[in-house]
Amino acid sequence: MASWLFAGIRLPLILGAAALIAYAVFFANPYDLRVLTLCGIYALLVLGFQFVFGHAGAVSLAQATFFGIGGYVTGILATRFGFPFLITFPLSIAGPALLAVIIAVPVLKLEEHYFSLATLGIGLVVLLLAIQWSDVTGGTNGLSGIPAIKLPGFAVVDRRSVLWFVWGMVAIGCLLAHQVTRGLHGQAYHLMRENREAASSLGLNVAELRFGAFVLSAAYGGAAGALMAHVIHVVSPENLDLALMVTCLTMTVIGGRTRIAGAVLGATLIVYLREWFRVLENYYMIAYGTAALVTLILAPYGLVGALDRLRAFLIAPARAAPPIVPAPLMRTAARDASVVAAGGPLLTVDNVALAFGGVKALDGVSLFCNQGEIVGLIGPNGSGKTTLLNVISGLYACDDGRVTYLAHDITREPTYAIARLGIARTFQHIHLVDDLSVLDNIAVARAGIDGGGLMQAIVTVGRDRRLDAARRIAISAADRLGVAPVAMQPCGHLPYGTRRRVEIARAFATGPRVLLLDEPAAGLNEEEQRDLAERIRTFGADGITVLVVEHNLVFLAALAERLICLDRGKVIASGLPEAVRREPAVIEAYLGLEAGVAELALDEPP
Amino acid sequence: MSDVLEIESLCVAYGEVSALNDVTLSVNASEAVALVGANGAGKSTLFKSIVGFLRPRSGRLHFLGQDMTGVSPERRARLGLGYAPEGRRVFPGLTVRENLEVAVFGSRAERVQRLDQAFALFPQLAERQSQLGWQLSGGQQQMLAIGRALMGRPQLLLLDEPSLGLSPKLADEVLTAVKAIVRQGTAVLLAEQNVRKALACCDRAYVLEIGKVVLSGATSALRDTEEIRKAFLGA
Amino acid sequence: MTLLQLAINGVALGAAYALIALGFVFIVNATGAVNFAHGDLVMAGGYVAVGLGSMAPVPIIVLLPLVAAIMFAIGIAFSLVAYFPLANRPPSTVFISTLLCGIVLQNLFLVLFGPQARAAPPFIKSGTVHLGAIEISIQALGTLAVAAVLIALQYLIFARTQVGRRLRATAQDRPMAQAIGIHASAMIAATFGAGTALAGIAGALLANQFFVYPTGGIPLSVYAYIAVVVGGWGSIAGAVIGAMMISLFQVVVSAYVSYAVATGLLYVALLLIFFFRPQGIFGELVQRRV
Repeated sequence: MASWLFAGIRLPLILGAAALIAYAVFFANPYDLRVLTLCGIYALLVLGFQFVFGHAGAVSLAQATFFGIGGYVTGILATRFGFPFLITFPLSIAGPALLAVIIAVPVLKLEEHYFSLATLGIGLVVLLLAIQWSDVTGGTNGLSGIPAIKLPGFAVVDRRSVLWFVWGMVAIGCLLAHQVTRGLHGQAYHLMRENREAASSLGLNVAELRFGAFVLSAAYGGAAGALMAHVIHVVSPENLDLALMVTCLTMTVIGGRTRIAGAVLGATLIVYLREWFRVLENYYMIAYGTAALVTLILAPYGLVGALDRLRAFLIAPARAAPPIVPAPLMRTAARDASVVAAGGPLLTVDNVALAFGGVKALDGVSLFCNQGEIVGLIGPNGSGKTTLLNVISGLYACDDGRVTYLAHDITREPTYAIARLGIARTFQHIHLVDDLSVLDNIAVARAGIDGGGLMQAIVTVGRDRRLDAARRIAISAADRLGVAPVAMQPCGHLPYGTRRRVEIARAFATGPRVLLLDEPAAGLNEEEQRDLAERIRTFGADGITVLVVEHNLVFLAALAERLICLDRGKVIASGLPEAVRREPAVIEAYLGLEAGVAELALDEPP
Repeated sequence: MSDVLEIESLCVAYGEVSALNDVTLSVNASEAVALVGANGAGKSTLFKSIVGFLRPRSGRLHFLGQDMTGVSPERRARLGLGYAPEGRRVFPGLTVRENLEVAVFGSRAERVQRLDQAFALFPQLAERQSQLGWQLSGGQQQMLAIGRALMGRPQLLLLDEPSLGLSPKLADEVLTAVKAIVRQGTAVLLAEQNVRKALACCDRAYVLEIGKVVLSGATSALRDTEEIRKAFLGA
Repeated sequence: MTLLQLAINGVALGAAYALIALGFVFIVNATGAVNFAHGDLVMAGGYVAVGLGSMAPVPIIVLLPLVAAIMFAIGIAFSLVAYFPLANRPPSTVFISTLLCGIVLQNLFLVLFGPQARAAPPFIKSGTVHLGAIEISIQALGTLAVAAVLIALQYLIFARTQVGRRLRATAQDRPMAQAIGIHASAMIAATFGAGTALAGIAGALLANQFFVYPTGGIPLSVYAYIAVVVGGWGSIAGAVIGAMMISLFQVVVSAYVSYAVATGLLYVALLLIFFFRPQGIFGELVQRRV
């Protein structure tokens, strides 16, 4: 219990919360109670916004719209049809969520700016509807006389009850957010934010993750809007407009984009800033905007992040973690054991062609890999090696040709599906989540493989067993790559060679049949290279097929059973390493030496 | 012969990752020096440090006798440092002519004169004056990048992997220009993976391996040595 | 009203929108940042014109150079606050900082000028000119003339001068521009200055007919954003064409339905463009020359 309390900045936050509660109970007058209630409503709004903006990393400008729709649904149903709270509230959540579902598919496909503008456009259309469709929405003045919350048995009428009710909702919202963003699911979001390609190539369905975040944000927005309608008894176009969106953004940025405490802190602080600065009368918005801007510049992770940093600065963290029992790595279910048993090649690339603009990056490349083979793919810069890996792993769609894996045509499969089938890869540029430990960075590889997703994350009670299971597999993978000793350290400060091994361990943790490694030896010193080569050799012994893209022929010398050499998008040599290395075409490509041909007269006077 | 570029015990790191370890090299006023090494050896890192995009952790970097610590990239360029980076990086939306003009900080007359000189060095560029940067082929872009770097009349030209993505014939055309450039008064530091071609057009060479200089000397002595071959092909 | 008359009105309004979109796309190109306070800077130009006009009651045509100079300085100051401190952060952070600056600006206007709408002096004088069956206000003619001159000037500067070439080079590849001796930060600050000056001029021209008020800039920021998206992100010609399309759409459609509905249809049209042609109407047609 004590360790839980003292972890991170929990203690100051809990004390702060306790102080606020004491204030609310003993000292607050009705006006203060109203202000505190508003803090709760905005906290709920921001919690929702954090899903799409903080966790999914998409700047949605529709959050205020969802808030307003929630308010209007409550307002319309309550004042015109007299429906009770228990009906209007769920509908106020479902309405915005339904809208989100409808617009999600086309909108989430859009790139950054376009996505933001599309969400803004939707918001503006809804705003106009709210103003123009006055028969239903009450036009510019909106709807008034929205009744207080009535539950069967009692009415939530006086300000103190309203306060507890709203904050009770906030507590539920926090719990739900906690369920969704902790554990394996939360780490999946973190990796997705860091680099979408790395996430997809580990089997994470990025589109699905973003969809879930978007719909959740809408649901929270609707709930907050409905509560607002009951609290102030009025809903008007002001509940939908851009000013509210900016407020929501400000609260999120200042509090902290991904931390639950940040939502509460940001909302409370901004609401109170407005109250305090109100003293300055006309100048208060200027002061508040300036304060927000200063915080944005000085505290990039929001105030909660700043508090974290302060704590880390003052108190060195004590990392005594309980030992984790490693679990054996289960290979991805072999769908076609028969194919493998027959001895056919596991992976075949058949006449693949891909052009960028006018440049032929791949020009009819064909190759194959047998099970358990370690094949080296070599070639000078720009020969198409990484492009080929991208085609195999699904990041690029080739113009022509086929990629076959376990007798299935995977040419047009999406990246995450290919990863789930059992093809894992690493990248030239390492994308790890610096803030997470080595162990968790590796564990996230199971998020896409072990299935589950949003609904499962929500209903999981207590410890996230999937995370525990993932960590057991992760420690096993870490051990294979020799990084188990640093498993609990955050990745940010580790030396390059170690980070490289963590990345390979992460790919390994998906339990692949095929491992595509992109220049794993780059940046490693001789000893690290020897060590890595040895470890990769053990993969092959385990029956994993490894295709290694490398420049470094010394590294490959001891490792590869076969070499394939690319040059300018074509295969120019293929076979046993010794033979390929002495092949004139290969030597020419690498060194410019032309064996047996007269030397070019470069050093003669012109 | 004074040193145009003097580097001593340079250490450069990306965060915790050591990219250059205790590198010492120099370039004199009228020579072409080759920097060879495999991918990841640190050639581009060294160039970025000379240009000023990376701050070294320790060591000395003197250009034209002046300490370059804290000097911005644009200032170094104005002092006489020309840079033709890996991947060419011509300005895609500017024409050939504009790519060259934008690099001159002098009078209009000077601009015209230097343009003529650039076209004399690379006639192919003259033929394509009004074509946009992105429309040029790889070889033409390489010529343009070098021409652009020379427009400022630099004392030292940093050439990063000019033969990348070019056919052998085109690479030869480009590298032939190196000797002419040195004769015109600009020292050259050439980074290349293609060892043969690099050694053929330079006077001296350094071999870089995982951030360290492992071999150096006159190219006539290094050419076709077993060590060079071993370093690249492991045989 | 005949369709031709509507079209003329649309083009006249579009001239002002084009200036706004032009300034917006400069900043987008130079920094990759979406300046959501751009519309508020347009209002700032209007207010500057109002302020100057109250001090010296001369027509706008005389005040424009002064407005431009003041707005240029404001643009540089703006970049120092909203952009440079955050240059190394993800672009969404700059987006937010501009939103916050917008709030500060809007309330600054409120404090300095009050909530009521203000009008700036006319371009030369009020009144209309008749060309056959077509009627066009002198203000609109003046706006068209100024916009035409500025767009031509912008083209000349970018295409023919060293400064223009350096601005384009910085926008296309900032590190490389530095490596050939260009002072990139100065170029970027100048871009903000120029973009803001254009916004301010548009504001001064619009302020006579459409009035300035503290929150008047918000829809303008949205229109600029739409124009640049519709025209193809980063394309200067596209931004101008996009702005024209928006104003024509607004003017023509709101002759048949209410202004509010016309605006709503505009946003719906925008969303349809997204779904069917995400790269913008001119995304591929107009090459990114600048």
